[in-house]
Amino acid sequence: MTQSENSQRPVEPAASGSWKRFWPKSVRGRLGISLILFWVLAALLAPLIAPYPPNAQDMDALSNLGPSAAHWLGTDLLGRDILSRILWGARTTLLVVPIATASAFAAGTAIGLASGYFGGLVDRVISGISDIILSFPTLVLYIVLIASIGPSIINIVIAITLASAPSIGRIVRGLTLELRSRGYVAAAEMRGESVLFLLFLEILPNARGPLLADLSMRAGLAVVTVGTLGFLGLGLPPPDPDWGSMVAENVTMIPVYPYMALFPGLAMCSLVIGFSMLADGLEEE
Amino acid sequence: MTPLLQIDNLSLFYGTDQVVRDLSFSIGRGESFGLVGESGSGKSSIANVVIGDMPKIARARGSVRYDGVDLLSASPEQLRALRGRRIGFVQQDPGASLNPTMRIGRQLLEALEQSDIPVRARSENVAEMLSRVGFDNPGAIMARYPHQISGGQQQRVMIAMALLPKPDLVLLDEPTSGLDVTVEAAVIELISDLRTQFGTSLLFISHNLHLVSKACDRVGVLYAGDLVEEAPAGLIFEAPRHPYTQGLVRCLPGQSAVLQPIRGHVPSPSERGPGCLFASRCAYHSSASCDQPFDATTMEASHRVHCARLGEIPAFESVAGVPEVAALNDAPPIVTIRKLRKSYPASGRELFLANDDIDLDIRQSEILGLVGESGSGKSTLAKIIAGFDVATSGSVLIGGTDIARLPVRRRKRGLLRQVQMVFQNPDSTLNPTHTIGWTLGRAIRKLETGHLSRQSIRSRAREMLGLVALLPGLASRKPKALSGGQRQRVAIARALSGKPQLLLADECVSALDVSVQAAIVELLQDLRQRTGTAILFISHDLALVRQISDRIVVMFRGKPMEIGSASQVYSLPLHPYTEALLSAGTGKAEVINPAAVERPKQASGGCPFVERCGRVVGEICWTQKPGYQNAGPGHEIYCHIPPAELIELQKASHAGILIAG
Repeated sequence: MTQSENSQRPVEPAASGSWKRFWPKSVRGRLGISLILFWVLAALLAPLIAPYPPNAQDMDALSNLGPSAAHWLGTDLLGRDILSRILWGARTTLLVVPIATASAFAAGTAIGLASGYFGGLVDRVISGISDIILSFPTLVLYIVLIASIGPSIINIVIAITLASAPSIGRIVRGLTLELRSRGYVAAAEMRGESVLFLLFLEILPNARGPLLADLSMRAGLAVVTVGTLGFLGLGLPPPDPDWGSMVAENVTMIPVYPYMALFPGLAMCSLVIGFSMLADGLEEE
Repeated sequence: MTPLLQIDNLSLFYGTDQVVRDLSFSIGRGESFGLVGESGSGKSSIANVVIGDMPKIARARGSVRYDGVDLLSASPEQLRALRGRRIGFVQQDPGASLNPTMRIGRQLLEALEQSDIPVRARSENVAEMLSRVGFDNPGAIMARYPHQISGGQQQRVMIAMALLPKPDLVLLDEPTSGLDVTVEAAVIELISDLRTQFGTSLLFISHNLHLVSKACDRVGVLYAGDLVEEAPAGLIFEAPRHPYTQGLVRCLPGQSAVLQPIRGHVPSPSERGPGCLFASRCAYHSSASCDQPFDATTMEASHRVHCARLGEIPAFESVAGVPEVAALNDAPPIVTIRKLRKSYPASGRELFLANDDIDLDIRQSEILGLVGESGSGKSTLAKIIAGFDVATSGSVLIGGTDIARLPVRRRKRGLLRQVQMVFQNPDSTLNPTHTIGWTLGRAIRKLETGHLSRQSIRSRAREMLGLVALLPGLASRKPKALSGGQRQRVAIARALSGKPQLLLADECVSALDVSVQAAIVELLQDLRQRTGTAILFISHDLALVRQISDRIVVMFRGKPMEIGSASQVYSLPLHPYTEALLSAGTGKAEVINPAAVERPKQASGGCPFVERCGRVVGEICWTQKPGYQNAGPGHEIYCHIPPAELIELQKASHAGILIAG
């Protein structure tokens, strides 16, 4: 059988394999990732660019707490430089958030794939447990968990994982249910592939689009969670700076010195917005 | 008199891509015009222009005049006054066009919202229209919700809705795709019938040349946005002049003895040059005359052809005839199916029988065609053999192992190797994340005997690509870069990599364009010759099944009604159901009552076909299951009436039609 060369030309040119592939195509996505990269750089370079050590007290500044040439964003009641504390605080947030999000995703993906693929009893048990966890108000869940196992980075990660894995699992379960009926999954079953192969090499890669958007969204939520825990005193032990506890320390001063709580709040806000813009951008693609 | 719809030099761009080029045609009052084209030909874009529903990025040039109004420059108010009232629209998927939360009656009344008919009389109007589209009891239909009626009935409702405001033009966009052949025949019948009653003009858009030529006075053939030929309906099959139309007719199953696929693919908008767009696939292409823009040639009245070398194109020679009759294959069976039964719990205490005591042999290296309407259980049978479903009872023996209740996950490698499958949807048959080479390599590693080195797997993957006539270079590409036909070829290569005894092909070409479909069918026949693999070819397309199969099984509600060689079943369809199916395909005789086609109930004790049968002999058909009767060597029918008597009955009814005609 002959076939002309012409009919074999692929319909589309191959995608370029460079890193540019990962750079978001939408403006929103680009803005989002720029905001995130800004904070990542700030956290990485904090020891170099922060004008003061985070816990150093400047007794001279106590007479004039507000922003000045020496302290661009002012100092807190103890005379600590707010700009330096925000830069150092970014380190805490940007250490906890990726670890917590990754761990929540690993757990959520595993349970979602299992319940979507196997269905039946496996699905009912997993969904049942998920529903129980989801029925708790998240904040109560965090407080109970951290209060009982003590505040530390590991425990915050565990708490975030436990609280968000069920809802990630639900998304993955839905995607799996849809993808498992595809021809390529059936073909893999017909050649006797193992379950793990099917789940992680045939199904999961095709769910990555919606999952990446969700990942970014949840990273934003994790920033809020870390902030909330810090605010409630369930974050890292003092005196190390963390945005949430900075707001908490200065919350009583809001009527007199609003900037003390405002600046760390703004920092948190911009990072959350960065993550949600990236999520929106990824969803558009 | 000016035509009702006149399209002049219409060009349509999506961004920078030209999807329609210098298109001109007109539809007179009371006339029906059909537009045929494969996917990517721009036919739906034209429909969108006519109803004024273009995507935001679309830009149109030229003129589309409807009764003197230019639709391209008309104001939204003018368009609103036309749409739905003077231009009716019947869409592709009736299930999606009807609002599931509203009763049929209310939805139909909405179509009269703007009419002059007094509100009190409207219900009566709706009821009358429903009875004209073939509902015996309009009141009952009006009280129902869309999900409570069948697909064919939904499409009738849509047609009624389009006709209610008494439009001058009705646009039908693939109105019968997704419907069974018998239902399709009834809908087409209805459309042409209504046209004579109402004098409505029709613009009928479809990929199916047969249907269009049956329902229309004139037919336009679209190729990549060019109207390549426009001719009276009869001439399209008799004397097509454009090389593309000729190619299209040649690759229609049932039209010629051997399918002749058109090589190559439809050029994507970015590949289109200024000259003839068919050039890349045309045997008569000469760059001197074809690569520049040229005008369409008008032959005799209303036959226009857009071809630069028309003078040199030989007249179409019909190679009509029946496919070659293969010698009766008496090879030993490789799959023996006995008393196979699959039931699902249905509403109430009743069981739905998807497969009803099937006895069937699949012989070595034969192509066994399995035809039936949707819901006939043909896919269930394939799923059980493949192991994606398990039988309720009965056996499927392959090489001495019963696989009827052995799901695919529990099958050993040796068993998996023997049965492989090609799936229906070319878009989801290959994993978009992996390259073609990876997919094939994986299949080879898992299904080949013995341990293979990385190098030999790679060379085997190349070899498999060659087997299905693809270039080895495609191995490094992802499925996204392949056309539907190419993907389906890769899927066939993947299934054949373990040299299976049996290949299950469940509607594996139904999503492809006819020209590509013909090429895949040719490939399957060729592979069967070379590899000796038996193929169970499942399809709803009767002509196609005849083209490819050695033997044919006609299924109805889970039960084979007629089994025989392709020539036996098609030249002498004995069973009343086969007869009805075949007549629906040709439109010759109507042995079944179209109203009875809808929503059959499960027969309790008797023949499953009894409710739709035109040849019921009496009480016995309702109460007693018939047995299989032998009608010739290897030819069996499931009917109470003896074969000789059936032949007599058929002769009589043909004579009746002749007299009536």
